[in-house]
Amino acid sequence: MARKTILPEDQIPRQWYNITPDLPHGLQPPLHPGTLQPPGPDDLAPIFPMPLIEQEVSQERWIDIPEPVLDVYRIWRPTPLVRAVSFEKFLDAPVKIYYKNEGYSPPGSHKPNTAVAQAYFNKEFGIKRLCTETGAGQWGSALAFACSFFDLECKVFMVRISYDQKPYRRLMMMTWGATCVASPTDTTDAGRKILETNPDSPGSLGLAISEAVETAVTSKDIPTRYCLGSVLNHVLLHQTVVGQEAKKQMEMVGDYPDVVIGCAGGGSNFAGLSFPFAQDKINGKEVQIIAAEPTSCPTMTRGPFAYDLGDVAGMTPLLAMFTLGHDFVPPPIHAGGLRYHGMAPLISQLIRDGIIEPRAYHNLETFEAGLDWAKTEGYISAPETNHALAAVIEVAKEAKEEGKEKTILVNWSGHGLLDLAAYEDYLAGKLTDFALPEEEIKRALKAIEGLPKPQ
Amino acid sequence: MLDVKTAFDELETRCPQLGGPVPFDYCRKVAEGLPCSRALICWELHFPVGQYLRRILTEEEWKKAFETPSLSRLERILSAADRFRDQGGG
Ligand SMILES: Cc1ncc(COP(=O)(O)O)c(C=O)c1O
Repeated sequence: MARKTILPEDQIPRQWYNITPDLPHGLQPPLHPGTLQPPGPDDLAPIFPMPLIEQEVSQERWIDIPEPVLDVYRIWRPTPLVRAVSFEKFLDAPVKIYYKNEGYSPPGSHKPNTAVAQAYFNKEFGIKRLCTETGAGQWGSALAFACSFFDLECKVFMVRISYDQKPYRRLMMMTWGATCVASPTDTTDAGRKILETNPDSPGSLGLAISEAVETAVTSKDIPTRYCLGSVLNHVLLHQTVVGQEAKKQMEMVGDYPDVVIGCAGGGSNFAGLSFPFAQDKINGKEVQIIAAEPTSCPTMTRGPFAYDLGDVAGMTPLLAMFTLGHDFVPPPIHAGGLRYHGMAPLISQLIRDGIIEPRAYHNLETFEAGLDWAKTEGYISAPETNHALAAVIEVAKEAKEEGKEKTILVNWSGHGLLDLAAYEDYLAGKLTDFALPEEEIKRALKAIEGLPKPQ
Repeated sequence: MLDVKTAFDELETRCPQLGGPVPFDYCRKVAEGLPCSRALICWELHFPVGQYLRRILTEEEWKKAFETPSLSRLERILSAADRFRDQGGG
């Protein structure tokens, strides 16, 4: 049986798919936190170039991909669709599993699908420098790669704690010609303010965003804009080449998925694969679409997990009640999307519309899935990608229990070759020995008991 | 003697936002000195983090950390831009 389905280069999608006009109940516009009005071009123009702002609010279903973007895409696109034959055998369940190999790109993930587009539109708009923040460094390296094709300067604010842990991602960015600095820096007001009170600050993603945005909007000498690697509509839009290719490839093998799966951090790779299938679902086709996200809590093994999508305003999830074998049950928490605060609005909307189903997986089971995958399919996955693989395993188990054949399509969003330290922790058993010993907990809590409660 | 404020600080977990390991110390202070809004979810497995943080935070701090809707990414970007745009040309 053939494993790979290769789409010829001339079949690369020529347009991105914008799901906004197809949403069953529309998309609630985001509000400007200052004015509480939907942000207008004046609010956005200092941050993003106009073509990307237009895409952000576009109601056009199809948006042309410019030829220079296609030209860079052709370095690694179309990506292979692969039948995970060995993983299927290992799972011994009535499932066919196909994966889209987005780790095939030079930076090793799906992120360049939008990085290249964003670099191009900024360049066309006369911008000379791009700024962004990065956590693990996947996005920073993708943008550095993209900027090198369009002769743009690239400055990446990498959260210090990651900067110190991940020298190779930083070196990739530098190899592609970008500047990568540890945030907080003393080059911005936001950074200086933190450094004044805490010179050893490990930084945070929020602060790195502030530094990157500040640099973009205050640059007087070099026209500079800010870029984001996930969450926003135009980013998800650019990723839809993945799902469009997958659809054609599934057609080539005469199949169609019963279940489409992706891991969801900000939501971009998940959207990229699933939105073209979500369009079919909106139009009446039966397909289950699962967004796999992280929770560190072992919901299945250690007690009930209550999870409800409605809160008072009907907008944010009510989270979370765990019982974990301690005699402690935390109160239900209404937090403005404790889980979803970083999730793309388009995906949150499709969850509310019942088109997408979110499922959560904890650390351990995702690494177990990653190891099973590496031993069968060969590829070592990014830790994020392992969440999607954990979902594949869960769906396969369900298929077995139901005695029902299922075809699964999953986005293999990136390789984990620069995340081997995380695998080392797992292999060394550090992740399994994770829960603090009961004695230790009791000792610490006992010590708190005697203290007056702060007012 | 056990310092109550830092009792769990050296434990480590994977931060889904950063994509790497972080000590509890980081999660306890990352939001301008207050805990990350995800701290309860990420740490529940390791120790009774909710009970612990209830003890070391004031009511107001707890509310700010866990019961205030956090800004969406776009809101965060817009408010950062607002703070600085007056200084810039862009
Ligand atoms: C390989 C990989 N997959 C998935 C993600 C999650 O991001 P998103 O949900 O935007 O695809 C990341 C984020 O850095 C990543 O590096």
